[in-house]
Amino acid sequence: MEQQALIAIGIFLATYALIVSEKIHRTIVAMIGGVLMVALGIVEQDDALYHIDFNTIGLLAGMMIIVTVTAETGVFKYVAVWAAKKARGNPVRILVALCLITAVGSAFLDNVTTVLLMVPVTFSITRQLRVSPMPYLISEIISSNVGGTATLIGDPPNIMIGSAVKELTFSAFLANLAPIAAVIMLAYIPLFVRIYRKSLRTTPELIRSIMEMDEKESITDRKRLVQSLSVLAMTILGFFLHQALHLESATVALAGAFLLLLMTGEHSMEHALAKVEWTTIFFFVGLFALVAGLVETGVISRLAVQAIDMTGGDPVASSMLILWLSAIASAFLDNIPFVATMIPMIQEMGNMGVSDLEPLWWSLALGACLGGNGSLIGASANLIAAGLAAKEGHPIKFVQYLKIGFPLMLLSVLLASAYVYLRYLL
Amino acid sequence: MVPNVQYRFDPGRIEIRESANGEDAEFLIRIPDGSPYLEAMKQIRQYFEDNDEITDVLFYLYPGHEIKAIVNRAHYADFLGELWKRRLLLSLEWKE
Amino acid sequence: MEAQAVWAIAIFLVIYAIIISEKIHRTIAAMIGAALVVGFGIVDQSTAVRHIDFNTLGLLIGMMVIVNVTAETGLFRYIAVVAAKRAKGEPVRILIALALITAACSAFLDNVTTVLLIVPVTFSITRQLQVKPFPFLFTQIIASNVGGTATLIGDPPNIMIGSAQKDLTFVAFLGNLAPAVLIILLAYIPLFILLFRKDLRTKPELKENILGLDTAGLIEDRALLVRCLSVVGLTMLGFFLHQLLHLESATVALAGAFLLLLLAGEHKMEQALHRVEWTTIFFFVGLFVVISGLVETGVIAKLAAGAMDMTGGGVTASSMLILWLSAIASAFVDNIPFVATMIPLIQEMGQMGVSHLEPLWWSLALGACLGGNGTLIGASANLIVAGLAGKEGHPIRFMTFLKLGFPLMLLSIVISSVYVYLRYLI
Repeated sequence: MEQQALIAIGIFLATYALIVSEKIHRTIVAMIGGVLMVALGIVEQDDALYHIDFNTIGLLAGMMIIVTVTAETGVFKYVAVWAAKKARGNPVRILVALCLITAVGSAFLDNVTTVLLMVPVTFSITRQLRVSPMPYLISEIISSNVGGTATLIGDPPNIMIGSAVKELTFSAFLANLAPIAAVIMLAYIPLFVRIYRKSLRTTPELIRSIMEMDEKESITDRKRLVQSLSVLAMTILGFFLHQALHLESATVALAGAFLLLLMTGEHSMEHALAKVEWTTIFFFVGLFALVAGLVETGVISRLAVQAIDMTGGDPVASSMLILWLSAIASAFLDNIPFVATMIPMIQEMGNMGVSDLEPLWWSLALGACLGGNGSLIGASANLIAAGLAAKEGHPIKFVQYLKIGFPLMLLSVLLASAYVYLRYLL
Repeated sequence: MVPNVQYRFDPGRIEIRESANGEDAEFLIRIPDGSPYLEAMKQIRQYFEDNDEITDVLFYLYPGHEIKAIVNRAHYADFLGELWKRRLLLSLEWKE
Repeated sequence: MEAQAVWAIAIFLVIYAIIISEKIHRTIAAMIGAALVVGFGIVDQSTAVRHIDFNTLGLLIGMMVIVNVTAETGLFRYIAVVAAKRAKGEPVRILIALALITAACSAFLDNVTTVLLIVPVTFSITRQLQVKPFPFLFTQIIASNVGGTATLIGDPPNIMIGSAQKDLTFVAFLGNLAPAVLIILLAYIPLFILLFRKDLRTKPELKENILGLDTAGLIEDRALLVRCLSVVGLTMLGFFLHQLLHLESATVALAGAFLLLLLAGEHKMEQALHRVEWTTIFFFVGLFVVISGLVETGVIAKLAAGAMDMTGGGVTASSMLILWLSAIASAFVDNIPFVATMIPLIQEMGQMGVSHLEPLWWSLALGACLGGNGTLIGASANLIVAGLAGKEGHPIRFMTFLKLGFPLMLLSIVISSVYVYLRYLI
């Protein structure tokens, strides 16, 4: 193997190891790795830029802006209180309601954002009911990863896949992934109830204090609410039609974001732009540059050849390999770098003659998104929720989460295997 | 334990009832319709909801401008300080 | 002219008019314009992304991160107070010292950042001396725009030119623009003294107060300072050598930024990224896309042909036209959109046979940077200082600024004309 390829592999593995070790923040590691690829001349800055998927970045930034402005209207709090009242203040029903809200929210918003919106209302409701917030937090984390699987914009792996493979539209994601996400949620809910029913007891008077709350008071700014919700609806409509309109998803999201900022005025712009998670965005930038090094030196195509050798190019074997490999890998590693590496590899397999790539893409999406439930470090949403909970004095332990999350993850990947096999491979 | 603090308010303009909620304190605040205190209370709510801590003060809104605040014992003085700063309290002092 | 071109021109003119009118924040206007250009199918998203100059963006972001971290060490306040003590507390000398510090910092940092660092120190010194802050603020604005002209990284127009024109290296900017800048500064200093000498009188005991200040306590974090200075030194070295190392300037700046974050620790990262001026970055993104509409539909090429007809393709006439046009335009409108439009135009002129483009590039840089001194709205740094001063109860009036700034600007353009003529056109 030529020297350039060896250096590229060396940088990639060192960066990956540092990301896994969590000694240094992943964004700093990825950016320095990316810079090294360019500085050592493995790729030119222009080539690295070409490999950075600005569609993913634009989509993430646009959605984060829309959500930040929308969250300030108090609408998410409104929905949570409304749901708690609909659940008649019963802690178990509230658990189910919050999980369903999280799942639906995650399907249309980024998971981390959804969790950031759900955790405060969860603390607020559980404090009032004097029940432990832990069952709620853990089941919300799991629901958010499942819900995020359902759409193109739900989870970073899907955003990346949708952005790299133009023929997989928003509607295609919804039609192919939403059914299995719904099945998994339906399987999970009775399990959540069984696992936590005993620990969720409260008194009638505390229930009454929930029932008497006035959710309408949560709305801080009615005009802003109407603006945000109409823009959010238009943006989602734009996603449905993006193929027909010949627009890419980042254009839709950014157009929505700046239309909303146009309505709300400039002082909310500074705030909304500052709240975009720039550390995540730069993590992406660094990773794309890193993977660019592997692609340009031909390492990825060699890996693809080996993968085809291993599975004999058989679609069933390839799909199952990708699904289970992604799930196990994503349970313990960040799924973003994993997917960033897998995408060019699957594309390369397509170039080498594997004709029907679709089952492979859906397997990658399902494995990477659902695998995140396997451990506390499996997805960003898990880490964010754990971080917030620890700060508020309710640390979620790694093993405590693993005992629930890992079996549930295995169940979901089993369901996904059956689904992929029956729908695409039979 | 919550700190030992004495405060005074104008009962004609605001109603504040304090009770214990576990180790924390719970305030029931009622402000009449049309009072300028309503806007001040909204700002206090936004201040505690926008800061980095989630469970320092939790607000629950009831019909008729009645607000319940569950105040973490570590943030008891912060909460009363905000009320005082926005003039919802007339005086605030430490007791021996 | 085809319909697409007419649309592109219409969108461009409307957006430009909105930016000048300042009714809507320029970032929102530019991003909406960009969304329209892509939404109407004038350019598709990937073409638009190709026109976004990520080298400019990367360089700006990298430098902002480095400065944000460095500013926390208290270094800038330290330098200013040491200079004030060296000036023996004499207000006129302090005025000159602070203006020179501003010019030198602006050469290597973004102008806005420089004034944001120097204004607070200025207020603290003038308050202690009981003199008016206006002369100080005014001379700092002028000095920052002049100083920023000297290097590739000093001012956005230079960053954009350097990024679009790869043969104009960091060293080339320094070699060609720094001499002109030094001459202009030397001409300005006696004028500053003449203009403000009478306003700057103070009592001996107040001077004593300045001399009694402790400087050692101003450095907040010595370990961090050493790291910052080493990284800043390395980054500067990188800029000097970037041609030789085959690296583009954004790679150098981002490498410096993330190296510093690695050394400073991750808790600095969130804050440093948060403080990057994202509104400015998105303003650039929007502008580049709006202008890509003009480039792709051939409007810029037609304008270039028109400009060639007007000047007969003569280098002298073209240079002088560009210099004076940029100066007058930049005095009244934002110089960033102006330069963003001029760059493809000059490139187009090169393709049409103007052989010697270098004088045109230097004329554009000098005109656009120095023109900013003409009015209070001529450059972002002016507006930022005016905003800060207004907030502190010392508003700077448009006319007050114009009476002093416009003649000074004209003087600098006359000097530049002579410089460009003697150096490149004889």
